[in-house]
Amino acid sequence: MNATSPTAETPDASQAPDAPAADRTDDALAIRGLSAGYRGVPAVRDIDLQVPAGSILALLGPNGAGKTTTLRAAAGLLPVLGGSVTVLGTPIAGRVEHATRAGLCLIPDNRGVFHRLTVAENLRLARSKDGYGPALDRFPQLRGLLNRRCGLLSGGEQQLLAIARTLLLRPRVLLVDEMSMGLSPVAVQRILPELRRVADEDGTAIVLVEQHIDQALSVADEAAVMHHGRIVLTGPAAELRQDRARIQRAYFGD
Amino acid sequence: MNDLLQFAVIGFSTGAVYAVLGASLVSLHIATGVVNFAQGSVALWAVWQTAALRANGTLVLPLGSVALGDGPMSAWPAVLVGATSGLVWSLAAHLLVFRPLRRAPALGQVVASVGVMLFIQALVTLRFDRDTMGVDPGGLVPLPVLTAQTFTFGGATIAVGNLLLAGLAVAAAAGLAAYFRFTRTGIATKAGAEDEQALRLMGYSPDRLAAVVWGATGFLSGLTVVLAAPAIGGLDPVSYMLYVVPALAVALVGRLSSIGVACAAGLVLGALQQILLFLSTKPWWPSWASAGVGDAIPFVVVVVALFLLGRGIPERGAREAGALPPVAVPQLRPLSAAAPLAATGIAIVLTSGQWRFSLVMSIVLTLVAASVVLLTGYLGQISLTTMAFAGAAGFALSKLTTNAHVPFPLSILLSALVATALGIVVGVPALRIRGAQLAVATIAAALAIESFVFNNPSLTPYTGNLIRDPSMLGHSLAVRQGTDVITLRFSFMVLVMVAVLLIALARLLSGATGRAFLAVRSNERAAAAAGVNVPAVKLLGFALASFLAGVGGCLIGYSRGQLSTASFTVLVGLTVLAATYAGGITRISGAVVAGLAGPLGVLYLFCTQTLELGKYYTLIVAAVMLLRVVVFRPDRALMPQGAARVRRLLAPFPSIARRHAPTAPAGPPADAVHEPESAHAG
Amino acid sequence: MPADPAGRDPAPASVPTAPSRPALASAPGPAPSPLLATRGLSVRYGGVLANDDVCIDVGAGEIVGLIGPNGAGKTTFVDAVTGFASHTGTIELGGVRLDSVPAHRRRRLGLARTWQSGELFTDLTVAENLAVVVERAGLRGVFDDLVGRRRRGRRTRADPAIDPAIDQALDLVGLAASADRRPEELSLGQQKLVGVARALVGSARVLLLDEPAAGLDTEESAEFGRELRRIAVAGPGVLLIDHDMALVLEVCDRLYVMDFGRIIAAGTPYDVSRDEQVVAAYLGSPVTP
Ligand SMILES: Nc1ncnc2c1ncn2[C@@H]1O[C@H](COP(=O)(O)OP(=O)(O)OP(=O)(O)O)[C@@H](O)[C@H]1O
Ligand SMILES: [Mg+2]
Repeated sequence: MNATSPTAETPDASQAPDAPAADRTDDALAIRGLSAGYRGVPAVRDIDLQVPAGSILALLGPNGAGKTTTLRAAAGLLPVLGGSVTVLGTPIAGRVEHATRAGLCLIPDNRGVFHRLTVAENLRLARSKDGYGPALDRFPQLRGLLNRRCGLLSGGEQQLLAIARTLLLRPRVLLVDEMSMGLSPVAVQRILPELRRVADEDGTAIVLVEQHIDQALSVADEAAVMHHGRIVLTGPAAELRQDRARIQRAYFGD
Repeated sequence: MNDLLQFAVIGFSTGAVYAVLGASLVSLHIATGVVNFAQGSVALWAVWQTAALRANGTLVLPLGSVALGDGPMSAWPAVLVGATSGLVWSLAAHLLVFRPLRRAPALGQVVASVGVMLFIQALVTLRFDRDTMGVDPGGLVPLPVLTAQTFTFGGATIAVGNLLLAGLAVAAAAGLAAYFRFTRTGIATKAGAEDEQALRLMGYSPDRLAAVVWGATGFLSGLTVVLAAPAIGGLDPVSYMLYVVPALAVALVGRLSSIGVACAAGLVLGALQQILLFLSTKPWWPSWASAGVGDAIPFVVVVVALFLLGRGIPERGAREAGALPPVAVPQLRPLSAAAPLAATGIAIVLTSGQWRFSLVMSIVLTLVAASVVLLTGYLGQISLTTMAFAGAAGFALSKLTTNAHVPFPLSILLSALVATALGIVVGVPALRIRGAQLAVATIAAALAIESFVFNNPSLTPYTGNLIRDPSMLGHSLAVRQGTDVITLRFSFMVLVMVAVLLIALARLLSGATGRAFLAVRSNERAAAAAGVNVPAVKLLGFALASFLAGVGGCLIGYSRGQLSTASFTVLVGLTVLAATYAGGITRISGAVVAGLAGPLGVLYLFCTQTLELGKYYTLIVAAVMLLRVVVFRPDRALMPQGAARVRRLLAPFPSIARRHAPTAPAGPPADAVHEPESAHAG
Repeated sequence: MPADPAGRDPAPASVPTAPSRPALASAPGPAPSPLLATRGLSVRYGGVLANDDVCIDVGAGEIVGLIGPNGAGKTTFVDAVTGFASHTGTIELGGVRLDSVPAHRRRRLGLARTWQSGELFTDLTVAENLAVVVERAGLRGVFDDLVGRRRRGRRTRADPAIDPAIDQALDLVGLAASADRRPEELSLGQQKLVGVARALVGSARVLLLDEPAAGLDTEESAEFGRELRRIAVAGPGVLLIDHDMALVLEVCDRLYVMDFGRIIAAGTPYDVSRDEQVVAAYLGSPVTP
């Protein structure tokens, strides 16, 4: 894991092949000098993030800092206005198809579950060889809800379903936006280790956008803090966990 | 009893058409959320194509034609080619119209499908002519394909062909239903209609999934209609286009979500209509009900059933109707209202004869379209009854002036109040039926009014529904005087009345009433939680809209001297809605555009008289409408990028920023937005 | 607006002062005549008993927490109380039975809610979202609009004729500067706050807040807690649903814990956070307030 701070003078990795960022070839997800935004106006600039297989990056920052935009651009949902995103060596170039084919999954902050389908139908949509049994083993709570229409589920149940469905796809790179939003503490405490296990066992690279800094740092390997569309702080999660004041300052942009 | 059975089976031929069209409509709605008014037109083309092939082997294309062999083509190949032409049209509609509109408001899609419907129909008239086919279209008939065998069962003569048709309908519906229920791609298709982006994130291609359904329904609709046409009757350039109306009713029975129910309902409706037709020849059948029962009764039953099944407040997770175009709340400044008013006044003075007449018609249509702005644009209720309300008021005006001799201004007020009462009655279903379903339900209401009131011979004397000329304080306000087809006095009476009502409307829409309407339009549950009495507000909207439309209907009536029912049909209502949407359904200026472009307005006269394009009028209107709805989308800002930049620059001065870009949402904060359309689309 | 003087009494004399300390925990409990009281409230969805015999009291000036695992039935409870889910049992607001009163009337009587998923009016600006609550639509409204009484047109900041209540409510949640923005221009957290302001405006007597802090970061959530305190001091009772334990334990006077539709524990934050059943069903590991 190597999340380069913008102060490290590596604005564009493709033009600076000797920069440390470009040397990493084992990165599952590599974002270099990314600018992305809406209607041609960038909302995030010069984002550099590299996540190796099997590692978790906690992406932190205050509301409106650009975390969601970064994830959406990485998933190909937004056109890339500058820089590049590659997933296991495949350039994404603002195309969702490229991202999904390369093995990237995004759980958006609206959860992306289909309200008119039942829970079972939602799970079936994940093209998985073993059916959706593994999802039920992972989250037994869903077993009793299989035939309920998704729109009727509680907010937290929908989030569980979204995570369960995505894990069925066995992603190589997993981006989770606002993971714990609406989840009870006990559910978060169960899911976070689950994600850790997915990273360790399947070698999935995970980016976790979280409001609960402590919880996120407890499972992550690395952390990055965004402010006003830029990355203002990066470092190993364990280290930052000890030094909360630094994160606090980064939240206010200094 | 035997008679009933026999007539029921005869009805299976039309029933099969209803069933398959209905099942197709439901399938398309499940797969894409679109209510496709063009389903009948697609089948219409297929029927003509097959007939042309079997006449002399000509394959007619939108441009040019190809001779497939010399001489007539044999039956089944012709049928297959015909059905395939349905598939091609359907796919083309998907690729060119509905795919670009996949995230447009439901209303935009409805309007686009009306455009496609009119476009194909106009093209059928133009292309299947003597020049292209080499035979006289008037002499063309759909030749039979299915067996003509019959057998007797319990005393009734049963045609095997009709049973085959019913079987085909059931098989088609079963196939479609199974696809959505049991296959992964079918389930994914349903998912795509709801959240296309989430589906793409799972590695599916929503466009391809939708294309499968478009193709399949186009083919099945074409095939069924081609096979059923010989049993149903002749060939004319409109009939099957209008079969979409009963098909919509049938789809509604299946609540636009159950293919099986829609299919069954289609067969039942076909049978029932034949039986009613048979019964209405009996002496005991009441004469007031002799007209239109077959059309109206099933519809009314459907609406009542839907109402009873519906919910007062939408359930948790129920689908929102989809965003409508953004709103520009009218700001009344004396000058901005006075200038167009004065210009119109001058135009009235300067024109005469036919031109002045169509100018006045445009003014009246503006009023009618303004009622659409209120009801659909602001309150979000897609209603196709506007013209029916107008017609009902005109009808009341005729009775009030000729039978009761009610004097002029009072006559309009009372007639408009009749329309208001009717509007409230029609509004009741809207308390529980929403979105596209409501659109279809209001067609039902319009149709019921049309066939029971306008076209009912027992309500209309042989002389027609005459309307006495208006006069006030001894001065005649009659539209005609001597050779003058439209007097200045009448024109100014119309102008003043419409202007006053529009100004009143602008005040309403910019005030508390407008805000409550918009709250209901964007979220009924939240509106109720904010203390808004949602049912009352909806009924208020229907009442106000039907009042405005009613006044419009009275003015149309006065301008003709009698009520001509042709001005108030469902098709005219659809056109007015479409024109208003294209003009801008969330602003009063949109109503003005609709007034100018609408039926018999200034633009119509310009096209038919000045340009002499009468033959191509429908085609041009449909094409322009499609262009406007698909390419220059009213639900989007015209220059999103530039506008956003301007706003960004002006951000420190919020009030200026808003004035400069009233429709473009500002550059959103990075974390909060679900961008409606990513820039690489296509 | 029917005002109940007793219910509006801003002095929550018998309510433990916030935040509860262990020392006070010996005498917790609702005010003698709670503003909002449900008794035996049950909601059934088909085969699911989503609320089962729920009795919850909220007193004036009091912040009461309702927590529980996902799908426990918390939102369902709010739905039932505010008239969006049919239920059995009784609901009283200031001694008035509300069981058969439609949703919009309950709001007019002072029972206001927010939604877990925001549910703002996307076609209206932030200020107009609040204006909908303050204004009356109907025949009277039509008349007022036509004669120009109370006519504010499109409210802008520059317009002096704005309703002070709207400004006050927006100020309370710190969004006064966004009054003329559209909801979609705000971040998720800010949208939630607009929802809170919309619930606050128009003399609300009890606020039912469904996860208002989800989407806020740690800092903002703490700030929101302080705002909530200020709001409660002004009089209305608050029922707060949230999964942010730091917020809930800090700000609530009393807590109810729901699981499978039933109340499984109630008491001060201190007691509840030590309840074994609650730790097992909801908290996972013990948390200290
Ligand atoms: N209309 C409905 N029909 C059937 N089941 C429903 C309906 N509405 C809610 N439910 C079910 O009732 C249960 C309670 O849901 P509720 O939304 O109240 O939970 P919650 O406590 O708010 O959960 P969360 O913390 O996740 O938001 C859930 O299992 C949900 O699936
Ligand atoms: Mg909930």
